[in-house]
Amino acid sequence: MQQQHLADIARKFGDRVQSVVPMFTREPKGLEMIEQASRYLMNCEIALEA
Amino acid sequence: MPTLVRPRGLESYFNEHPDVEIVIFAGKGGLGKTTSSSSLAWYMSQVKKKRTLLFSTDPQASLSDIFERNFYGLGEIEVAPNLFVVEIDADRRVADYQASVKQKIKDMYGLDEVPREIEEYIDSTSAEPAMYESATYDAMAELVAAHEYDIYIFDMPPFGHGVRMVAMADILSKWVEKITEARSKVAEYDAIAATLKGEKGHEDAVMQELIDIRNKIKAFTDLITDRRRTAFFMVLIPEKMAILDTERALAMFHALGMEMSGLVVNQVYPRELLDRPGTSEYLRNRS
Repeated sequence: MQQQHLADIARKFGDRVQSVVPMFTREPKGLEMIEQASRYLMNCEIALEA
Repeated sequence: MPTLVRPRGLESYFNEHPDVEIVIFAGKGGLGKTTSSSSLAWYMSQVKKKRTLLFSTDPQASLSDIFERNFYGLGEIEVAPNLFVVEIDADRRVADYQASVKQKIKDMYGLDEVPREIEEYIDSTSAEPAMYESATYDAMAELVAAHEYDIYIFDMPPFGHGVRMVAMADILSKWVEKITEARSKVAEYDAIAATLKGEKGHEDAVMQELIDIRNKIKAFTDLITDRRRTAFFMVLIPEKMAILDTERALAMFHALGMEMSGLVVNQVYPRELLDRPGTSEYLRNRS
């Protein structure tokens, strides 16, 4: 399901997408989790297939 | 063969735009805007060692939630070295503003009490969403104008993608300009009448107030429309409504002659989940 929408995002927005952040196992809370979330946001490792 | 889009992450963006001092995260509620703005604030303050202010006006106090402590209406609080958080109580700001308008009316016209109809009118404006927005922008402008931080990160409330701020500022600015013009004509006649009567002309307090408002709005819009100093990011999730919403926001930005700095796609299940044998049917359907 998500894959279709991600492909749609890649097609429609292409290079405008600056970062793709994964779903976390639980909602990020507290400084430690924020630090972890920040790594994903700043250095994106997920590519999108259009 | 599918084309691959490889987002570079926000670090590259900020390395290429070192002068950015205002970052605005826009988008609907519940998409991870607060997580994104908190993450960037962490990076700026801890990795880049910039004195960082993270700002929100969310009545649901989501920064309080993510940082697991209460900030709401308590001013700027340091949560880690260089990282300050402020959660504005917009309702209180609206109430304070209304009180100050009433006081100004009393001072300007030498009244003990504000006439009842005018008072009712002022009180009724609390119900206006525009008052809430205006209080938010006012708080933002005030913080930026104080120049106490290297970077300001705004977790915008979910109205109008934060874009309406620019449109509204433009309309307000034009309106104030028109009124200022009309009042300056009145002031001219006033001055002539005073000279004829042999009195000294008095300063127009209403006019001064309008000029102050216009200058404040202009300084702030100039700043947020300055691509070198301000970055707008929109947060979305891989769902149809969020995609449509993002398209609309991009069109609004374009219509206002502005540019979105980038998009952040949140809550993504990695593709590998589909191929992993232990993945539950629920997750498989979602991803």
